[in-house]
Amino acid sequence: MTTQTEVREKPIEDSRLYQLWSAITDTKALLKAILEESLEAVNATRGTISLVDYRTGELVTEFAAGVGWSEEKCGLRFKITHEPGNSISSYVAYSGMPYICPDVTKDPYYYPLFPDTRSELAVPLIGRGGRVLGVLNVESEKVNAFGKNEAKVLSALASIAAFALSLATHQTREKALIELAKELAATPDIDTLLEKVTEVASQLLDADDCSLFLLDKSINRLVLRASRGLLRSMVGKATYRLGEGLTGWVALNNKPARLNGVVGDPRWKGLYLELKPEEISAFMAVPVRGRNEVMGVLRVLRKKASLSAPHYLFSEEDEELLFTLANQLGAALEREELQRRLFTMQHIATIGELAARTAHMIGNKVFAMKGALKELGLQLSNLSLPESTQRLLGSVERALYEIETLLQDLRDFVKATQLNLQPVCLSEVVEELVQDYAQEFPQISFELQMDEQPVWVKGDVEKLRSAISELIENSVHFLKEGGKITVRLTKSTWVGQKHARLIIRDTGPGIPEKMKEQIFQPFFTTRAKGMGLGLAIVKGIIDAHGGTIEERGREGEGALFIITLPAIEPMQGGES
Amino acid sequence: MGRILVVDDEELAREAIKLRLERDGHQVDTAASEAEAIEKIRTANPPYDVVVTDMVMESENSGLEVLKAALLKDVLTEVIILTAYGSVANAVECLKRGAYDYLEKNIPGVDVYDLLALKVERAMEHRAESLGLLKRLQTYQQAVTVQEEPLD
Repeated sequence: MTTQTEVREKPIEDSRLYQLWSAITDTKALLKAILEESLEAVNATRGTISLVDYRTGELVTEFAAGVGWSEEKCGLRFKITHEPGNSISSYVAYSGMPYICPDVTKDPYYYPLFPDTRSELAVPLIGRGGRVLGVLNVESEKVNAFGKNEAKVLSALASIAAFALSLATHQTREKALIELAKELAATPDIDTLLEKVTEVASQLLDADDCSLFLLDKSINRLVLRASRGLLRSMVGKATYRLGEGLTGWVALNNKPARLNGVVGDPRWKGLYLELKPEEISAFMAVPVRGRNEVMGVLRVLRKKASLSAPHYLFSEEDEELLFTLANQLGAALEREELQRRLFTMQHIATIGELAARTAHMIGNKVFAMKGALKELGLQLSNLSLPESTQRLLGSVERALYEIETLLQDLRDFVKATQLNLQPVCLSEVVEELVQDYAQEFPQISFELQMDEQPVWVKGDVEKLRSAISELIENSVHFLKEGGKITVRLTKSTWVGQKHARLIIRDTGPGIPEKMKEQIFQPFFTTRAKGMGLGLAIVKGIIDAHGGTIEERGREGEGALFIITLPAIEPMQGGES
Repeated sequence: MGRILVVDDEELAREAIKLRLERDGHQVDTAASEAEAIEKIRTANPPYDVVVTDMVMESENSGLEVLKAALLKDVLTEVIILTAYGSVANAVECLKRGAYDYLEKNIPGVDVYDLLALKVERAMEHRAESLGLLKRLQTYQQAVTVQEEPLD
């Protein structure tokens, strides 16, 4: 009892844990302590810790201790360079190596601050990926005051300082990412959101500029959607083709690019520049990934300043951060897309109803016209009319039939969007279809890949069946000589929602690039008899289910259709 | 030839069907709505042989109402339902409830008026057969009744 009371009375600030905790969270205090410890350990007169300002390429004196230093003297800036006379610290920041200066009077890098300084020792603070974060510098009134042993001791202390700095950066980044994630979830306006991402990316990565390109599928180009600096006026105008320039390369290959300067890189095209190419010292771009594909490219760059040494490149850690940002953005964009689709789904129903009513009315009129025309023809046939008049009657009749064909297409299209929604075991539907087709076409090899757990969706079983069989039918059509059709059904989670993902891939000729944009458009092709509903109607059915369908195959390698549908929890029993 | 009622809210269609069926020698009345059709069916004397009616007029089920009225008046009246886009399901429902047949108005490349004339012809035959059967049944019934009467 008494012991417990004693423990409680002891202030928390005195506890060892608290001290440890405040030491690692209070970076400033820790760096100051390291500096003081350094002076004592190597018996130095005075010392500084300077940190790299990545934007300007300068080394800034942040902490100083020892004889003759005052607060005002802090904040000194030195250009980071190997040129002489810019301070020893500046040279160490450039080289990334410890530096022992036995006699300042003979040293080319020395920059005089105190008249009594005779010798110096400077070690770099090296962060993850070999990046120089700053320099720990000590000096003495004696010549040749520091040797290898002192350098070792100082390096050890410098590594603690570097660790503390990395940790602080990490915490800042983490906090910013959490903040951003909150904003991404809450911001309804997509453009504000894109702006925010570029802003956060520039800040966290000490980048001079950040630009975001998103893929516009209708023109198949990457379009600049947000930028921080010079490119701001080009938003909506600057575009890259897939594969064009570094930005296009990143999108096409779905791979990041991280380089030291851009001049000389064969991929670089420099169509739209935040900076002059020779001013760019570091460039990094990562793909913004969606569920099925690359949605865009997020790129950052740093101005050259004098930071040309390799450790001023963007680090692996920076790349991870940019990826994290890009992934968050990808998820936000998908979510936006999801909402848009829901909206579309509700409107399809309304438009469908309107279209059905209109088709009905037009159909009635056409029916009446056909009748009137027929009677007219009969009455005219009693008179002796020239052949040209008969031909005219014929053309009117043919035109009416064409209207009826169009109406029939329209009706099929509208019907596809009128759903009778029920829980459907998609696995069962897919399995049955594949079995049926495999039996009917023994010359084609069918492969069915499915999760053991059945996948359920809320849908119209007949419509889904006809959509899927239309796709298989299409593949079969192009595999007259045999080949392979792979059907894969899996369940995946995206933006917090479970999705059924159905892939149908064949080894046929594939869809020509120039046709890809049009294949889902209604009335694009005059459908061949017996070819089923056509891809427009397949898309109509999938859209009405709140799903997506895309063709992602390459010409010459076969067609590849990906369907996603919102999944539901599996129902009891196997029947749908 | 037959007494036929053509029901359609589209005047042009009504007239075209009337002309076509008159060409085959039928006597054709027309009605422009479900209500008018029901009234004409009720007061017809003798009842119509065949009623050709559009499915969707005042309501989605106008055709069905006309069918009911026709069968109520004369259970052997044959009813042919005309459908435009989207009302096939209702027409099928009419078949279940005793309609003779249905016809889609818009079949590309097909002369639906000739098809309708053919269906009307068949319906007339069907009605004639049914009437014949009914007559035989009535004769039989009378014969049985006459035989059984003394026993009662």
